[in-house]
Amino acid sequence: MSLAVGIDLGTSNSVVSYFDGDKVQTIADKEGRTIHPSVVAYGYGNTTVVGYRAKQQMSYAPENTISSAKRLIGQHFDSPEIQRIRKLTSWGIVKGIHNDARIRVQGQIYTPQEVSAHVLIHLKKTAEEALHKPVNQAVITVPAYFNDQQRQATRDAAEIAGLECLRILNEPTAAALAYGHQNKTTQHIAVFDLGGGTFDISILRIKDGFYEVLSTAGDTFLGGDDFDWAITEELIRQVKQHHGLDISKRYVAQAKLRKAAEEAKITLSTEPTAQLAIPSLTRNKNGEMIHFQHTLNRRDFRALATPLIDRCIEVVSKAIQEAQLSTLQVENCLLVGGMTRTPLIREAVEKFFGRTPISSLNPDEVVSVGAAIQAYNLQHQNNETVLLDVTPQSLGVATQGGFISTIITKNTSIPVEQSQIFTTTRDNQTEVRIKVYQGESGKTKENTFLGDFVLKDIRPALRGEIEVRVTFQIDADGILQVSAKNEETGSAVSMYIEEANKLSQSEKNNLKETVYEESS
Amino acid sequence: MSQELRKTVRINTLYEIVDDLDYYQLLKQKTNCKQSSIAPAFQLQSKALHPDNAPSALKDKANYIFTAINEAFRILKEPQNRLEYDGLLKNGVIRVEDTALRSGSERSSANDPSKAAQTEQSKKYWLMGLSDMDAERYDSAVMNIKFALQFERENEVFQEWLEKAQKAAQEAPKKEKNPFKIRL
Ligand SMILES: Nc1ncnc2c1ncn2[C@@H]1O[C@H](COP(=O)(O)OP(=O)(O)OP(=O)(O)O)[C@@H](O)[C@H]1O
Ligand SMILES: [Mg+2]
Repeated sequence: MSLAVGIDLGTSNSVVSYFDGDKVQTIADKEGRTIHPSVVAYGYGNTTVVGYRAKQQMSYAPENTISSAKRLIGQHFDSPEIQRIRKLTSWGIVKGIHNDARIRVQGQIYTPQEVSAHVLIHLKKTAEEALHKPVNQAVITVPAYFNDQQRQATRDAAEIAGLECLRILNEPTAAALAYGHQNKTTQHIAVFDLGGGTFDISILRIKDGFYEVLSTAGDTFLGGDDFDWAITEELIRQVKQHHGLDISKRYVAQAKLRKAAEEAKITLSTEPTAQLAIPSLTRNKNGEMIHFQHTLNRRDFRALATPLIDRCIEVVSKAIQEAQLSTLQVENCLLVGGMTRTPLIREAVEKFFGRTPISSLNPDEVVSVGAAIQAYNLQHQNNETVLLDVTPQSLGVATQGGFISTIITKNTSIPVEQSQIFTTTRDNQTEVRIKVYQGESGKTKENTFLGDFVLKDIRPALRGEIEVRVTFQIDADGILQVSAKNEETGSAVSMYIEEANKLSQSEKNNLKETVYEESS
Repeated sequence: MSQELRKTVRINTLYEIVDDLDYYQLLKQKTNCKQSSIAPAFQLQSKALHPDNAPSALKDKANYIFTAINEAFRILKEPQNRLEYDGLLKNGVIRVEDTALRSGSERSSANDPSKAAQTEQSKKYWLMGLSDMDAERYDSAVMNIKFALQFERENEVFQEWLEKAQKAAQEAPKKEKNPFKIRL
């Protein structure tokens, strides 16, 4: 039998674990490393390298080295987030045929799904080498706050990589599962997950193998990268001040600063100051080489980091409110993600909850461990564990005037089915277009469009006379189906929303071939 | 019987009758059960019937059944909703659309009409009016919005909704009296 693993497909780093029903193992490569950079470097011709080797290439060939593809996956090209990071990346971001964001390297266009597929293949191979068995199935985690499109794009990445995705699991939920596997006390727990690219908070109730997510909130554009950028921007200001040179358009120099910024941030987690020294940063206007040096202390870092930390805490208090709890009722707080090693963040969390966060679990591995446990449970239909997750964002349909009528509110436990009746808005209207949106704003413009379809053959009548029942169903897999039924005739249409945004089957088949060619 | 076989039988049987079960039956509880026994009952039913734990061939059926169980818990776990449901159940309504029950609670949207009230007095009637609208009790909505307007005569959102409510009340004179939409 082929094995099922748990994969934490992170913005900066990915981790794969395996649970055999007895012991969990986080899988190491031949060099003994369990954390694999989610970096893909395109070489000349058709070659790619993934992981550590790719990360090494980042500082000398940044324009060929893709990191943080997860920030683009399932995003519309026009979204403000994409437009913002376009200015920051050393490679190009272009518009794909589904209005999706794609990556341009050496004149070639790649989808973020493909880039993620390379990472997944790398993990699959690493696992197969360690476990000496084929690995064909996986539970893959995503940020809880990912919308439907981002989840679907992640499923596509798995398919391109030749992995059957048993479940898309929310990262904080996975972490809670790993925690509950060790600690059997009944309790409320908050999972605070600050990784490289995203921030998630989930509040759960755990009791005898029963995991109920009470609420979840997050920001898919708030993570370690943003702290790095905040430091980088400060360094760019320093270069300007001391060397009179604006390097905001010099990508190689900037990539060096960014690397130094991240290292300094990590140093400051244990040391009071961090020395940055970048010999040969770039040449100034007279052609002289700039050797950049700077010292960053914790106070400087605090000033740069505070606005970002405040954003996290704001999201946390929203989640607590949604769960209808007070901080006192939350017995434990679990820190997940590399960024939570920053003392400033631990402090902020401790202050908010009034208790010391749990530190018995490895914050880098805990998400993949939970995913591995869930993979085992799904394969074996283990009756001891039940995981009840929620929809992170509200779902609804467009109504007249660009407004949204919400059908399923955020934080509703799945599986769920809810419906609402709408009427025609014009006289003699013969069809109704159902447009599905996700998000918390009441306006279509500010929400994410997921897909649409048309209910036809409506009897011409006065407006308001014909009733159409729109039903939203989300199954335990998190897959949304929307249907519309003419209440008069009983005729109905329905669609799976995933299909609306999916890469087409032929696109995926093509990608499968090329991705395998490149990585062999 | 093996555990697997017992599960298969249970899912197949429940699937046939699930549409006729009320929320208490779905959670295997008496209608007068203590509020504190609702959550544990739900947990037991979850372990027994969650689709993740169902045999592969029965996933869809289990999903259908568990959607109903989840709905039962969503309504019964809130004492206020449970009370309203109990009233409906006496009239033979076994499942409700909980959009109606939900409408009084806050929604987090920028142009959320429920945030339109500026004074405490108007807010009370305004929210009642809105939930009337949601539940299609248009006559009652007209009355409540008019009350709200007495406290805030200039409120444009109120005026706009009053028009909507009056129109709806005229257009739908013989709507069912039941405040909740009954499922098919
Ligand atoms: N000791 C440390 N102190 C501070 N930050 C650290 C430390 N170690 C790692 N980080 C930061 O943690 C981030 C990576 O965390 P992690 O590996 O959990 O993210 P990820 O899982 O790849 O991302 P995401 O979960 O957002 O998709 C990076 O920004 C990295 O700089
Ligand atoms: Mg992570």
